[in-house]
Amino acid sequence: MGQLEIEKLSETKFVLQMGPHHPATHGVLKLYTEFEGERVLKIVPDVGYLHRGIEKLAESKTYPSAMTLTDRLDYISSMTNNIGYCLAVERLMGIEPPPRAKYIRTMVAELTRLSSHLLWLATHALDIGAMTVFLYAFREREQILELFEKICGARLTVSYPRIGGVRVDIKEKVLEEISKFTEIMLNRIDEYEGLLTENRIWISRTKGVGVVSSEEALSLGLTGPALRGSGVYYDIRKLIPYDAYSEVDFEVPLGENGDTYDRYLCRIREMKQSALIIRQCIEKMPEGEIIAEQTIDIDIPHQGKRKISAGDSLWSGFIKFVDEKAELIPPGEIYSAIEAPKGELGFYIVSDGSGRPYRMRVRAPSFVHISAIPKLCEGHLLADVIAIIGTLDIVMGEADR
Amino acid sequence: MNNLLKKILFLDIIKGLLITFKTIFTHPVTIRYPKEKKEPEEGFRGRHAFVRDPETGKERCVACTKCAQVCPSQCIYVDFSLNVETGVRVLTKYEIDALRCIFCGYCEEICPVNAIVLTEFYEYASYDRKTNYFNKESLLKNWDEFISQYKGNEYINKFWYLPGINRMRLPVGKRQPKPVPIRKIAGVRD
Amino acid sequence: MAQEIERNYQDSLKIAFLLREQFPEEVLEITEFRGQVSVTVKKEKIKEILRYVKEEQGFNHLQDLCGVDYYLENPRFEVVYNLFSIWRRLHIRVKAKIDDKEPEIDSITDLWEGANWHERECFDMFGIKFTGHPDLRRILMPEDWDGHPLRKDYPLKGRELWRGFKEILEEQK
Repeated sequence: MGQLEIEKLSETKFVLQMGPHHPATHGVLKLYTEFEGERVLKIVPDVGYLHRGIEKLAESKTYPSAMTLTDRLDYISSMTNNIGYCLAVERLMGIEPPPRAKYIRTMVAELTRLSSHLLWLATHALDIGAMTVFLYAFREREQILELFEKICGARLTVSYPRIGGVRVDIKEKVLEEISKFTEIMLNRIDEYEGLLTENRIWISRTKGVGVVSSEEALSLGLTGPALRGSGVYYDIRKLIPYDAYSEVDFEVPLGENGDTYDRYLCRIREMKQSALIIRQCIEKMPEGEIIAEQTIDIDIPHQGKRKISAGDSLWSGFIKFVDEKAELIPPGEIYSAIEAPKGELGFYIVSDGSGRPYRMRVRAPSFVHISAIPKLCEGHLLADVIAIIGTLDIVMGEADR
Repeated sequence: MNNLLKKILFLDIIKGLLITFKTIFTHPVTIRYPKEKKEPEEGFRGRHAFVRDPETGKERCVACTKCAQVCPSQCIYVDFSLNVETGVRVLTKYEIDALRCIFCGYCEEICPVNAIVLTEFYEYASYDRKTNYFNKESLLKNWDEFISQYKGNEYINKFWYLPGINRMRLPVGKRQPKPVPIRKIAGVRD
Repeated sequence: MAQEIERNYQDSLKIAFLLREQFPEEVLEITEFRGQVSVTVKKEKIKEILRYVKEEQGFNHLQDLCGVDYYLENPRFEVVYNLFSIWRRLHIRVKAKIDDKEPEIDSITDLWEGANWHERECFDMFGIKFTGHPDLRRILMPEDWDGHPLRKDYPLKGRELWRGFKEILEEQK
């Protein structure tokens, strides 16, 4: 071969398409990547393979029925999605749930945070190579899903929180089992730390990978543990408290360097704080009602009929609904956000005075985090790209809606 | 100096290996599925069934169509005929498309006479779609199959009477828990 | 909880009045609902308004950027910016009105980089073009889709089958 051909060969770049079917991308995410040897030159993510049209569907359903749609956004932690939606509609109506319902909702939200962080730990460690942690974490997660089955009858897509409170009451027997589980969980978190935190292989794989400074993280729109790993104190449970978070004590762990190791430490310490919050909620739980007086729930006699005038149909276009009990929700708009395990989950609801949402917008944390992948992966190797996807904790159900 | 000693003697890796070594002697947590099964908890949302009333022997439904109005995925089809003099409704057609159902449990919560229930039976996969399109007779058959393997004297579902809510806000049929008797108590003969 | 809402209302209202003093012709109205303040502005100088709110008043976190379609009003569309100030714990909302004949507005990707994908989704769902955006193309729907799904005159079940499905059905015959 001549000199010119050898030079041309060494300049060509290597195009790799980590397509939608891939075990390490946590769902259907396509990454178009260009490498030079093993160094990353360019990454372009592509989403939209799981788009189901939740925002358009919610415009034709009543408020309690639209809550079953929000179960399926972030399907790993479905109780917190329901709580976020119920909080937005309660603020729109101007009501508050009774105290026992607030404590039950806080306890269930922290159980969900534990379950979601356990799944994050399992898949992140499995991608990097530590396969034992995967099986240990799923052993604990199975116990949490059995507890959910005892509380409300379903393991994954629960519709347990309601607008104004919760759906059914929890018995004493189940509360005792939850508190026994909390004691077991505190020991198991020490086990996971013993396997990973001081391990020299883990440290050399995760220290210095995916570094982001605090101004860049805020400008990119990162929230949740990804932002707290860079040192910014932004936790909605402390800044704008909702439910019973103002009455329990807990700390918020912060990181220093903004790399993968700090985000890992943030999440492990958050798991421990969650277990302590559950213990306090069980000790302090008051007696009383579990749903508010003035609410548009379904078991308080029937919700509105769907009156459609002649000539309209769902197939033709714009319809205007007229409902009974519509005067409980006046025209207006609201934005309310909660601290979901993955970041800040926000709901922006516009109501026009009929009993249905006019526009429901879901601000999903995973959608914003995927757009930050090209910035974080500059100059890293192929194996680090997998570690960075794992540390941002993305789920395609809420990124695509 | 301490850190250098830890690095040379591989103390961090030995700590991890000790944890995995201890787990060899614990009891395994797997359940071997077809031979050992786990009982679902009470209130589990499984296959739909129509309750067979022990006195009349037929269904309890009065064709109020509340379940069809409240279902979020609109999978219930109800048809009735109206007797004009007495004003009593007679149910003629009741169909549930279980493949569209999302198993939310709203229909069993809102039914004022506790006619429909989501039983704790979950192993009903089949090879074609027609088996899972339930009509009135197959819903009653589901209830008979579920009762024949139920251990206990009477059946009640917690979503029928919603514990914890103030009793005066619910319709009359749901205020007190009224279980459905299944077996006659031993020693009492007809 | 009630005094939190009251504090948010009072302080955000002061900031809304300062904004109106700074840009007197641009601000159309200031409203309040359940303790949250929203400021409606015209779309021409949206970049200067948001730069003022970010740098002078300290609202450094862009929580959300979305579009709303008011089918029976004129102007028809609205782009809503929800902003939050972390060190003051205040929330404010800025809304820009856009009409149907030329649905265009300036892009704010050089103030906040995270607004990039929010603007792409707004273009995909409503058809609002953002001038100055580095890469404006469809994000959730397939690239060759016609129409903008979240508009109110787009039916719930869609207009016709997608080209990809038609090809699969024809191959099966």
